[in-house]
Amino acid sequence: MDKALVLIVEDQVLIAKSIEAMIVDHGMEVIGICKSGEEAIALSEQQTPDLVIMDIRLNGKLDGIQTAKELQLNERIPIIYLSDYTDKTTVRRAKETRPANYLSKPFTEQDLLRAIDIAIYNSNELRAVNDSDEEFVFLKTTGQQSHSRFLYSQINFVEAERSYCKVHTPERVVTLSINMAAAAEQLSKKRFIKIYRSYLVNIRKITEFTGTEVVVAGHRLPVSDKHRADLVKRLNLLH
Amino acid sequence: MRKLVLIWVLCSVFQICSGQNRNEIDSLQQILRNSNRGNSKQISDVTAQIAWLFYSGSKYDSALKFYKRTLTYPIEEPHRGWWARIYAGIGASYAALNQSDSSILYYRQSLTDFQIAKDSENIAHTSLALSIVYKNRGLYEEALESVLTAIKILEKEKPSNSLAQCYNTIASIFAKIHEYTEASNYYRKAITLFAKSDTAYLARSYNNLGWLFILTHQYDSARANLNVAANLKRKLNDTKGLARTINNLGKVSMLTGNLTEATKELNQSFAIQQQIDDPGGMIEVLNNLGELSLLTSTYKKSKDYLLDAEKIILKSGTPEYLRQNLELQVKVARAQKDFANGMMLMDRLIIIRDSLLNDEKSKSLQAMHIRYETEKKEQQIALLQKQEEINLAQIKSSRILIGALAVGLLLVAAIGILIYINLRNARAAKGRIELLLAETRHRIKNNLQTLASIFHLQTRHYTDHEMVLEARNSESRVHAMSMLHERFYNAEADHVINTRAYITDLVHKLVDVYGIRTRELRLTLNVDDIELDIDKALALSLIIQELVCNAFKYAFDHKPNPLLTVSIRSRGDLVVATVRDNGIGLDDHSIGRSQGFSLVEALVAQLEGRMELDNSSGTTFVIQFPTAQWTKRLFS
Repeated sequence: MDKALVLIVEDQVLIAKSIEAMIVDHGMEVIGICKSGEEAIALSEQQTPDLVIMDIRLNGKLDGIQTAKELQLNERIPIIYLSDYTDKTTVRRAKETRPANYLSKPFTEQDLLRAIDIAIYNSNELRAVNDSDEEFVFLKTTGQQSHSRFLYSQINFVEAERSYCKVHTPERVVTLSINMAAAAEQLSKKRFIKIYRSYLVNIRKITEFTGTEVVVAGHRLPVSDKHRADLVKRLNLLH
Repeated sequence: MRKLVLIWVLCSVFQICSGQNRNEIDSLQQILRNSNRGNSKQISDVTAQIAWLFYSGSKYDSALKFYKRTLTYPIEEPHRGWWARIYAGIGASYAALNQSDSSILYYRQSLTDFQIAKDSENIAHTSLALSIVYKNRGLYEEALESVLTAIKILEKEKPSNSLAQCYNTIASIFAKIHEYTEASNYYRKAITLFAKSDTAYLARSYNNLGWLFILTHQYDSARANLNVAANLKRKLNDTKGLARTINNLGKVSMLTGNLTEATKELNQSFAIQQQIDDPGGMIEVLNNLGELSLLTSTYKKSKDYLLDAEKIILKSGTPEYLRQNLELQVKVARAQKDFANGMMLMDRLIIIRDSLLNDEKSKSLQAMHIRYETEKKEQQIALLQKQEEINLAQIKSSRILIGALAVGLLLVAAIGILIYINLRNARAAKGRIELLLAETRHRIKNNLQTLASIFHLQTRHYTDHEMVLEARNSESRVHAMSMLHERFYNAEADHVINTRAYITDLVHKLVDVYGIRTRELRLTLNVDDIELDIDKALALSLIIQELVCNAFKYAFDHKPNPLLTVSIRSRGDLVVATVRDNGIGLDDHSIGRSQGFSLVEALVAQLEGRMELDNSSGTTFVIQFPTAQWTKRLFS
């Protein structure tokens, strides 16, 4: 489980700094603050961000939208546009880059966090639906309300707990600020299967299946009658 | 009755004679005998009718008798046209009787009367008839003048049969005076006109054209035209005409050396001539037979033919025929070596030739034609000039019109361009203003965001809770202002702020900023739909912001079931804003120290309102301020 990596592209340093503060306060990591599109492209070639917060008006030749297009040439990185600049042409151009969200200045901390939530949720869902082979998912943890990057190989199973749920990794148990159903939506359907009302299991982590129980990383978890057939089918497919 | 007879007479002038002629004459003579008591005009009419019927039946002597009788009746109101017709009838009768001098006299009289009556149509007809008489009489000058008069009149009308006859006549005249090109031209004109109207005359014209070709020694063309004429005449049963054409064909054969054919044709023509009464035709055929016999060296026979011809010529022939006849007789005399007779004939021939045509005469004729042609040309030129003037006038007027149109178009275009430039400038100005406005808006928002960012960053640096809250309060003031700006710009129609939407948004945002759990806070919002201008809305929003933040900062510190009520009500001319919490309440000391409170007081003063504070249970602020002067619209 890693912190989500955020790239801030904003030519107003004070604004950029306050955004950085808000992001860091919520358990994410800022890989850089860029004042121009060119700078952002150069930086993201060294380290791919998980999320980009992009002002549309920038210093330099490229504006935010052109920069976003460049960044998305290789992979779809969720982008939150940051601007008040809302004339029709700009909105149309912005739409073409399929932004994850759009945040109008001036914004509060809550506005930004909500925008990030939606952006990440959408990109997770997009990955889950597309059945992509990506190896990770962003999940929002309790405490700092931060988005963390979980590698699928690290998740053993997810356990429901009232309106929250816990992610069991080899090292620790992390509580998410979302419930089981919301987590299931964001996790890859290909990799996870529900075996019981309160258990969502990473199929590849199942080491034993007794018919009424599975063993995942040493934990014995019950299999309900309702989910058994589905599980058998999925296991057969694997072998 | 009188009128009826008159109409009948006038109509019958153009009637073709028929077998009923005799009966009609009888009945008319009966009327005449019975109408002794009638007036003389009526009697004259009937007499003239009888004369015409005799003329139509080729009884020229009788016609002449009755025509002359009409002249003896006294007529009360002399009617020139009527007299002219009678004279024309007499002229025609004399012409038919080959008494050309008398004919010319009456025709001239007729012409004078028609001229007085200004009857141009009959002037033309009579002139034509007169011209023919002149021509036959060898008076080519008079003939030409007369026919030109007729042509002048008739050419103004629609092409008619009469005009064609004129052309035919003038062509014959030109042929006689050896103007063959002119002659040929007029014959062709005549043929063109007759082809549409009158086959009999068409045949004659072909015949005449053929004859013209004989004169110009174009015998093939002559034969072709004569053959056409002969065929037409056969169809028409025009024996008289046919005899002349066959005669002409014989002449062609003779001149081309085909004597056998010539003999055959001339004899055929002679045979027909013996049966009919056509002195001119007979003279021609006899002259030709004489010439043919001369060619075949049968001089005796030739002399007989020529003498026969001479007899007829002297009785009712033209000098032209006599000239031809005498020339042939001279040749026969020479062939017979009868010099004495030959000399005598030569003397006669010289006299005839002199009388017929000399250079002077020919020149004068030429001059006359030239005069006519010139006159015609001048008329045409005048006409052309007139047309040109009309055209020029039209061109001028159309030029003026075009000019006016062009000026009009230019004006319209100029106005259009001016309007367009104005519009473009206005649009450009509007565009610039919009751009500047957008830029200004962007900068305001960016600056407000920068300001909010500074306060946000401050909150992270302060350790003192009071200071953190103060910084956060400042940040939310900035947000309150920027929200107002946003609403102000988006209120496109009129620049007024709707309190309900704005205050509701603002309070929710404050809840957000202060991280108040909505689940824990019982928030009641009662905001009326009041429209305020931006200055007033800003003051109100800052007051609400301060009071709400105050409640969040102090009132709910560890207080269970926090409760906040914000209400803004319209009470007549007043706006009543109430902010109430169920918190710990404010002591006077803290109020005095609070920066926010003094801000609220200043803002209330700006609104010209007053504020009440109730500390009894929780804290209740009630602020009242007038709307009247403030609700005036910013841009109205």
